[in-house]
Amino acid sequence: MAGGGAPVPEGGSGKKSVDFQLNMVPFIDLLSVLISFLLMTSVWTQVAKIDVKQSPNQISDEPQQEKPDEQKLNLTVLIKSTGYSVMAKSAVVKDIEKKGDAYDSTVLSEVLKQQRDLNPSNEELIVTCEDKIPYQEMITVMDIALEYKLTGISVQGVDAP
Amino acid sequence: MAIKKPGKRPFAPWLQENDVLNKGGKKHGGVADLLLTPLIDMFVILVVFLIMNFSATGELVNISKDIQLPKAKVTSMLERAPVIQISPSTIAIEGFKVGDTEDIGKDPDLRVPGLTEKLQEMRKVDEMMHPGLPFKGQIVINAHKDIDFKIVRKVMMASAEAGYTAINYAVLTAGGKKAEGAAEGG
Repeated sequence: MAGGGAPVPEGGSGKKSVDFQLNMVPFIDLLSVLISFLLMTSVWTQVAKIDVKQSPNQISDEPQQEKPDEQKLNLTVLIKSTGYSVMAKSAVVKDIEKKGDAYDSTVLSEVLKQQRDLNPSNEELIVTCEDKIPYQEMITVMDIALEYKLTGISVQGVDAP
Repeated sequence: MAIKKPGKRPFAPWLQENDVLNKGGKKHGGVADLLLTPLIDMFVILVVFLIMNFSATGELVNISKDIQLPKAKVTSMLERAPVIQISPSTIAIEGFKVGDTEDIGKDPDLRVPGLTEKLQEMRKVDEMMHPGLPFKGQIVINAHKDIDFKIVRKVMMASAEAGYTAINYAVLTAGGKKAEGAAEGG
């Protein structure tokens, strides 16, 4: 067999052969066992998480007291049925209309990047959704926010007008 | 037609002189050399691929057939926590059904008492099992991607009422990157 093992003898001349065949059988055994183990333990669907802070108005319906901190940016992305609306310091920065049936995440990405560059110390973002918005859209906005290191994400609900 | 002796016959005239057909030809030994190099190459590639896909944590979330998770690029690793499953038909916690999604969606009340009760029970069990340790309040929401936000909001409210304030949304990784210092839950 090719994985023969020991040196091949060179007739009766007495000289040792330089042709050495490595015993491959244990190596193949090891690889077979390893493949079996990895196949049995493999996880084919990679599930991960996006984590958020629970905003206070989700716990209570009572009106929350606003902090009198005027310096706070309060960067907010409102996901409406008509598109996105980015707000900062309670003023609308940009309204991003839908492109057909799809939300324009490219423009949102640019706006969030711009806001991040303007306010590098701010890592907080409030994601506000209307009730009828699909869950995937909220995750898309969070994903874009995390891309620009806006890690302090909180989620709020808002009733559609 | 003459009767021929049975035996091996060449399909082409130039094979007439081949050793295989020639009985009086050179005799081979009984041991055949099997070429193992391609086999080992294939095994090595397979092992490398499987090791790259290997997950030491295993499958923490069982995804049922009627739940299609949303996809995200920037994610962090999932940890063991109670799982709330929201499918288009039912809402369940750790496999126990707490209500129909449609009924809960239609209910004008934002609270889900059945879910809150179940979570409070789980919190008590958790605190009994880990005395002296602070309650982490972590929960995993495993929701279908097309579910209305209203349902997710109600589930979040029920979780918050029971003290589970660190909400983790289960997502499928879309070949992206890991979040650096991803949001602190709570």
